[in-house]
Amino acid sequence: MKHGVDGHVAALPPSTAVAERGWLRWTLWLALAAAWLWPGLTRPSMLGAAVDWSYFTAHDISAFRSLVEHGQLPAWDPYACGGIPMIGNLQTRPVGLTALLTWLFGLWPGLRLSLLAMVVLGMEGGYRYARHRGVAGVGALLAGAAFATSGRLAQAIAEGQPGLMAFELAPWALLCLERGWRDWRAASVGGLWMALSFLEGGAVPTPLTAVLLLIVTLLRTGVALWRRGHDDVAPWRPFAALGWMATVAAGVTAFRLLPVAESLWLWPRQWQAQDVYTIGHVLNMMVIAEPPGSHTANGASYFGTPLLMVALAALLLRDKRAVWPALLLCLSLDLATGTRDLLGVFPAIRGLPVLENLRHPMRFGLYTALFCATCAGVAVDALERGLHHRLQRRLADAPPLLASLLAATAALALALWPLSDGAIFTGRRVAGVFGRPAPLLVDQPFRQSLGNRWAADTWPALNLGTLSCFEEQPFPQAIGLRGDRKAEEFVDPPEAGTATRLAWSPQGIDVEVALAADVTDATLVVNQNYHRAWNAGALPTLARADGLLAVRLPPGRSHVALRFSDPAVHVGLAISACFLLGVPLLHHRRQRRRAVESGGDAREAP
Amino acid sequence: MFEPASAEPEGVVSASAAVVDGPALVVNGRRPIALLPWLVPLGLAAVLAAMVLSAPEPPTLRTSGATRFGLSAAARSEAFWQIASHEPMWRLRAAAHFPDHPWSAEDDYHWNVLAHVHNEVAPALGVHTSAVWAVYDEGVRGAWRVAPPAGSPHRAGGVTAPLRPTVVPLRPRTQ
Repeated sequence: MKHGVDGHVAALPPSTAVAERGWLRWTLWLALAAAWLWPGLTRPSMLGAAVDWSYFTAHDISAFRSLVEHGQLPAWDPYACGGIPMIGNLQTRPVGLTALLTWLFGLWPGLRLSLLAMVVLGMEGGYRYARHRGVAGVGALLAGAAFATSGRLAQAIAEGQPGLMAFELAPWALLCLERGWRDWRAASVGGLWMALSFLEGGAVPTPLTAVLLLIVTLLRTGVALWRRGHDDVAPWRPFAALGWMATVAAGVTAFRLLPVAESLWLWPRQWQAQDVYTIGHVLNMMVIAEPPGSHTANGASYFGTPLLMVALAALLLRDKRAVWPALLLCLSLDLATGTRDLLGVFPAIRGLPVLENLRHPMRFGLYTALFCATCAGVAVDALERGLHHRLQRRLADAPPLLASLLAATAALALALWPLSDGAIFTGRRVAGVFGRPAPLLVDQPFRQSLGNRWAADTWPALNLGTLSCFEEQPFPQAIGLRGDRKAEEFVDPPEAGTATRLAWSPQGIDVEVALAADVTDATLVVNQNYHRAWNAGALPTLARADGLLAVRLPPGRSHVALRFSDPAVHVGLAISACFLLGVPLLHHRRQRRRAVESGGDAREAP
Repeated sequence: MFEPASAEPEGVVSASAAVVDGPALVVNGRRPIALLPWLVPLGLAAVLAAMVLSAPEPPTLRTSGATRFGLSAAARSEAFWQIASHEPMWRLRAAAHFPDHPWSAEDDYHWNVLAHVHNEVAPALGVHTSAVWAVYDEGVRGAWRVAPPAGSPHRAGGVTAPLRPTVVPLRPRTQ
């Protein structure tokens, strides 16, 4: 194995001693991420002007109202389209890190701090992945920082798609998968990272990262088969690790996965367009420093020519640590084109069940950034090790620290070149995003309004539903919805009695109904879409002919307590609890058994 | 070939091991005092959180009183009229753009409403767009049939019909 520039298996680069200090590294990440997001952090109530900012913020406000203001699990969203599933809608992130931060710090600060947290996690994940690939010191730091501030993530912020920041978790999942080839515990932790990605990112980062993990698994299985008998990873193990990761991720997120699966089954996401790009176009997105006009324009996936050149240097040095990330870099480039003209991986992936709706393949360029950053880290690491080795010989009489300092300084200088180029360009993009004042929050009784989907975040902020709406899934809307009703809950026929709202929350409505003495057939109608999960205790709920939610009323006076209570969520919660408790227990028992068998060390042999 | 065995320096936290073990509080027999440096990132995180939390909060909208949503009754009436009076033109234009797709025509119409509210009405009144949208809802709900205020250059436009408060579903729900 050749690590150094001169073929010498060098010791770790001198800067490793600094980079490995967790407290120092996390301080660096926090400082870098804060600088990258700076204007947004100082003005948390300023949003972007892009339409998706409004759309996704609307869902965040709805989730906040349900979770924080009413203390309810946001399973139903009464603010969008006359009422649609929230936890079953892949476009939302009602439970996860973001929800937790908004609960702790309030809506706008929480949303902004979640961006910060994701960038910091991306930096540490990129660092740890590079570290796992044998890169250390400044090289590994470069890998983490360059990946987490790369253009596709800046593009997500510019476009107002905060869920795409879950891409920052991809290196963690990849790292755990690769470690999972030898250690089941790593595969379990990887499942947790994928679970968090699903809760935060939903529709896009989760399947794309899953595709990446699948390809890595296929490659590693091929290697294990090729080196059968000489490989410490059995050929079955990569797929077993991936399967276990998927099981843990699915189990932990069952409370969301089940309603999502149901909603996708009933109302599948539709995407007819199949966007494809030439390799030149994809590379232009990555290396041309132009302010991109769209998500496919030059510069939209920017990480820069300097990073690419430093990464190429690792290959020119014939450093074997660069082989694996370089191979994955090439595959991610092919995926990003979406064409059949090269390897044709993306069209093949789209042929798989569930993945037929994958779109925007250029997003795979984010993984290109990760692997390019890792390769660049290899080059920086190799320079530092090699230089240190030579300086140690040449400066044999000088204090050893001098050679270390000189080598680390040279590595830092090399690392700063691509990092400053990439992070400054993308940071400027991010800095220009936050120019639109957030909608004003108002406390008033909830009611449906005509609304306007282009200003989607206005309505839940005003505590109003918007009938004008857009969703990626064709959620059905009742034709009976109106945005001008005097009361959102009313008796039908109107002359049969009166209905008085006693309490309202996103997941529950209490209404006092008084029917006239001779009325035996009347319903309480709610100005929201029907959903099977609405129930009113012993009173039967039904969908009216116009699609509105209704409750058949008993004669006389009655108290109707409507609750959104989805059995899919309840079953999912039970499964999630079992996994969250059971998986650690499983590992603990396994560890104890191994400890007994081996007489001490419980760790699996690498 | 693919699994470089990177020796890790003694006495430091193993990055790879920490992935599995989680944030190790005591590593390689370190005493708890070794955790003191962690106060630096924690302190920085606290400072950043405090900075975000101390940022000025958006103003609140008054939903009652004479100056509801920060606008007098006359200003609200004018704001609503500014939007509603354009409806026929926008609907015609939207229908021409999308003759075979009612949902898209409705969507196109709403885009025109948004552009007008953001670019014309809110700047002219000097208020947050949320205030204009709140008035928009108030007018639709109240089925305001408003003529432009006396002296307004728009007076010749006459009485406008209220905006349609119904939905054009992408996928209509019946039963």
